[in-house]
Amino acid sequence: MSDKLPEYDVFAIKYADRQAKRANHFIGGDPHDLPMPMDYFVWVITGAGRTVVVDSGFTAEVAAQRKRNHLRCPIDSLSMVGVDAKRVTDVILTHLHYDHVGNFHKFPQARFHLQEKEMQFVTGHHMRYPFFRHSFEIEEVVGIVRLNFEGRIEQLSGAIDFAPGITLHPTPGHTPGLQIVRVHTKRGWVVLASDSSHYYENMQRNRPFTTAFNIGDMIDSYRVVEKLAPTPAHIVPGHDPLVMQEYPAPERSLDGIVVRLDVAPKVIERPKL
Amino acid sequence: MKTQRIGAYEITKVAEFERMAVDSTFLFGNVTPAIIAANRDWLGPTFVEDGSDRLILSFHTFIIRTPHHVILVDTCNGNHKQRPSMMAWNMLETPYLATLAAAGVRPEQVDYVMCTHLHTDHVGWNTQLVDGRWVPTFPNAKYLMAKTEFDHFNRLHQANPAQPINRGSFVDSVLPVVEHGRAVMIDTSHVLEGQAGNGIWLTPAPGHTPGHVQIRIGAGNGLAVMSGDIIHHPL
Repeated sequence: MSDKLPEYDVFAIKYADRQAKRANHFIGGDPHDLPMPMDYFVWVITGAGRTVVVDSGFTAEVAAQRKRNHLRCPIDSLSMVGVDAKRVTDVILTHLHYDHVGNFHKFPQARFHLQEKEMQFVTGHHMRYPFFRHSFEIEEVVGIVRLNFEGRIEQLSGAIDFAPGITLHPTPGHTPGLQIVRVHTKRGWVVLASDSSHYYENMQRNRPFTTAFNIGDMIDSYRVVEKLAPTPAHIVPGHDPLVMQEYPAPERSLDGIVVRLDVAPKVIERPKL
Repeated sequence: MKTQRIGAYEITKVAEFERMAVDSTFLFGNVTPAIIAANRDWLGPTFVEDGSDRLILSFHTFIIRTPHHVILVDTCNGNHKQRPSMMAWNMLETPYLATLAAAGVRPEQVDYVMCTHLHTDHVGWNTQLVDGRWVPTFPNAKYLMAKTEFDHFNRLHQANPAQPINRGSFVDSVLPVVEHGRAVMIDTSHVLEGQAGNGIWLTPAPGHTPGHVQIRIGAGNGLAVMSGDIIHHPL
């Protein structure tokens, strides 16, 4: 039996976006009055007889309430990479924000893996404050609590080896229970940074994103993410439209919808602002 | 959501989605990177992708509110449409109807739906899926179609019904409107309101498709032209 680590295929599926400006994404704002749109993703890991979905996006109903440009159901879109949601057994939840845990009900067979600190956060005293509560949907929190009573939630404490070639790491800050996923591919370990860095720029310039629980932890978590990745080009931010430009579509028909993350990106020159 | 006024007419743009990046050669046969570079500063990130030469397309409807009527011009891609030949338009689930409602238009308030032409990305919301069937989205509207346009695509469809005409949109977004008796065939100089020169009227603009029309809105000193796909993109 080989001790070699599996080399997974990893995909990002874009299901929504919204218009935004630079000042929306950095604590302390930004003097450049320029657009900086936000993309919304779910991620998929396949290979070695395993399929793991990372996060479950937001629902069309929540999108309408929050005025996001919902384009397609992220879970129906899993079929584009050959995944049937009804048969998925494992979903990793990086955290419980509305744009990462919506649609959990579309995985009838799955166990959900998240940090216990995130469960405690959404049922803890900070939820009395709209500032923190705003990014969660009450029905999704309740839904996860129900799944916990049904034994379908795996609550994790700290870093774990999830599977050969897939490891999970707490990166608190944006929320106390945020975790990221490191996955082994043919180009080495790729880090799905999710909201530990919404944009490349948050981490590169050490400018934390505006939705924040603990800012000091957010900055410290950038260093954790950097240490986990062989190079900066192995880090995939959670909402940056550059991901769709830098990584290739698995086939032309999926251009603008799905990209492969297990191959090297072509790094796009950013304008110096 | 911007509203512009021409005389007593109000025009509001409602987006289905505003950013689809396409290779510049998809739209223009003879475009070069030098042309894009020379025009990037006025096109800006709304129309040219930062860091590449891809052009950005937007899919939107224009609402024209007149003293008497509510008119929708072009209905984008629609939801839940099977479009295997164009995945970016396939099985969409956008909040288009909510966006329309936010602009003050409920489906039953629409009097006319006018498609500049019958391509896939202009007819989508003509119909919506209800209990597995395609039904007109706007129940009280007359759907105006240039007869030459309809006849052209209908001829292609009848000749080979198994071949999806306009990526399948002819069958799921145009024919159901006809079958429900809501389609009104017009000529390409039809006047929707007032008279040609002072009102809302069509002029023929064949080329992109045989029955493509321009929509002109003129009142007093103002004239607006909705060019449809005569001009896809500012470049």
